[in-house]
Amino acid sequence: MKTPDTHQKPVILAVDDTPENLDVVKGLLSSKYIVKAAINGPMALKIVEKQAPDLILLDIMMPGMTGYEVCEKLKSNPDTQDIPVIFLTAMDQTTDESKGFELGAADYITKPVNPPILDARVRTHLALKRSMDDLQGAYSIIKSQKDRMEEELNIGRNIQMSMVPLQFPAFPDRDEFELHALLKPAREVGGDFYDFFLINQDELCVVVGDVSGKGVPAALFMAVTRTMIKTCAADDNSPASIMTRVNDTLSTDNPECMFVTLFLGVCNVKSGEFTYTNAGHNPPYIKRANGEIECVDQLHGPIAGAMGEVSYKQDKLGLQKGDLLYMFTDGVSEAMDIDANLFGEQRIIDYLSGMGSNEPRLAVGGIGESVEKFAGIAPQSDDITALAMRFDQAADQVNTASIDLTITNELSEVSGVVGAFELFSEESGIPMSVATKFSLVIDDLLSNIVFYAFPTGGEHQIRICVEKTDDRVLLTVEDDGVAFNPFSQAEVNTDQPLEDREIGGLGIHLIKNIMDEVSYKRHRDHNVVTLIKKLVR
Amino acid sequence: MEININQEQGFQVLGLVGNFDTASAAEKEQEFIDLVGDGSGKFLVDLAEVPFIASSGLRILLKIAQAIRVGGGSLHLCSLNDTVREVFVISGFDKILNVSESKEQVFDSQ
Repeated sequence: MKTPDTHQKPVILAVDDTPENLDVVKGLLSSKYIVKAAINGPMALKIVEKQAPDLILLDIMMPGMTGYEVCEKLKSNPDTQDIPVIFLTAMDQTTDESKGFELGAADYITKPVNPPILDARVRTHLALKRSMDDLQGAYSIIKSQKDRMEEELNIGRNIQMSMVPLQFPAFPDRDEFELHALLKPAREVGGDFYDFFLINQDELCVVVGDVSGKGVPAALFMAVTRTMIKTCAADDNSPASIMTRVNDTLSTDNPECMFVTLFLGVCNVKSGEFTYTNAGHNPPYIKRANGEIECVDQLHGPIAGAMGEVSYKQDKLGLQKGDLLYMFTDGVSEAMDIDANLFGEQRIIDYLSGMGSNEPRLAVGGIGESVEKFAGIAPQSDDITALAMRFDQAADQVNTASIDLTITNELSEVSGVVGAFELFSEESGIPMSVATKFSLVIDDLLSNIVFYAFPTGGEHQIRICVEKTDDRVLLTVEDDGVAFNPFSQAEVNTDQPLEDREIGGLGIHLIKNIMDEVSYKRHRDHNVVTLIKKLVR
Repeated sequence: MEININQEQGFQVLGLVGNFDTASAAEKEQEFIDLVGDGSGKFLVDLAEVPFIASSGLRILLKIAQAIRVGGGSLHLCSLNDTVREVFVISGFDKILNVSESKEQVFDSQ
């Protein structure tokens, strides 16, 4: 079925079994309208099906199919139900009239036809029909826009939910810590996320964030933020440095001026040392093993993404066995009930205090349920996100010893480092066989740096850190010399006979083969070499 | 690192004491070259008192080994601790130099 062309004259269909009556109508209306005629019901329906008229003038008493039946048919079909029908009949009983209206007729005109009345009523109903059509058009535009917006919000939510880890327990093979998290997206505003991952064997990174805005842009901004944190954390365990880099990148190309509040922490799961940076996020709480509640309220810089070249700071705190850290977004504390009262931080504190055990799952789930109960029938206005982590390692089980030395780029300084290391290894119980290997490696590596890293001379500093735990010794050497990855050098051919052997180039070969793990990275204009030798327990 | 020089059983025995590290290598390089001279003598380097040897130490050993080879003399090394032995294996020096368990083993083999 085609709809009438609005630029043409309106089309009127007159239905009457008496040709003379049709002629009268035609005579009255054909100057302003296109008048089509049908002499019975079936014919009228056929014409309507072919092209819907703007209005129908319908006789009631017709052989075969009455006007009532035609009207009923038209009104029961969604395609034709909106065409105004005016009954035009000699029947003038009130009951006939009301039956006509019951069937959905727009009007009822009795014969003989009074020309001005017919003209006026036809005009009125056509104008009404036109307004109805306009409204309908506007409504369908609104509806499609609304559908699109909802679709966009849905896509945003899907992106959001696909990015946060949802599997719990997340690290079934790790007994040093336990964690649990929740993200309950709101219908409208959103952009929360959480994340957790191991940077290396000993360090767990936890993140909670809240992106400004909603829908796809917020979800994409969140995706970028999350990926960037993960990428930076891969070669950097300092939250302040990660935050500074993430902020620099986010703020350089950010025409929409989006931003994200972030709480980012790195927990040494062996020692319980927790280093964190808070970029405009609401402070987390710690429930200590002894029940005391502490607010982790240090702030270290503005929200991320808003402006570049900010140096974020960081703080450290010590987690003891059984301590629970509860991180969340303002969707928890600012959840509202129907009277616009806030859930508030006190309820979080009260819930944490009242918990019998420091189970992360209980803290996250319990507070989530409390919020839900509190809000009641009030719609959820913001994402509700929480991440809880409990530290489970007894501090006395870990024996970490370390030294941290800085020397200048003089060969004479190198033997001092070896001497200090030998003393350290005696004190910390590094086996002799491992210690001498490290001494040799330190000597070779540092000499190499002194000789080659500073071609333009001048005084430079070289930092050496050694850390010993029960199962390994880790050496990190950092210098600000020219970028040079020692481990990318070609292998030395050790199979050549004496007379052909090159003199030199053996140092790196030795280091690579003596150590269990070697790595190099260029980080913030520094060369950082990390070497690990495992200890047999 | 110190070099103690002794004559034993027709060998010029160089007893090294201390880490054969980069600084020692730089400091003692000329002394080694002078000791080897034209490379015609019989030399035994005793490493019993050397906790570790760095790559620069290996470099010196390689240098004198090549000089002695050219000069027609002989070079033996003995008494390597585990670390030094591992370094020799990793660098392939165990295959190009004469390495013995002890001084006595060197003397007995003559």
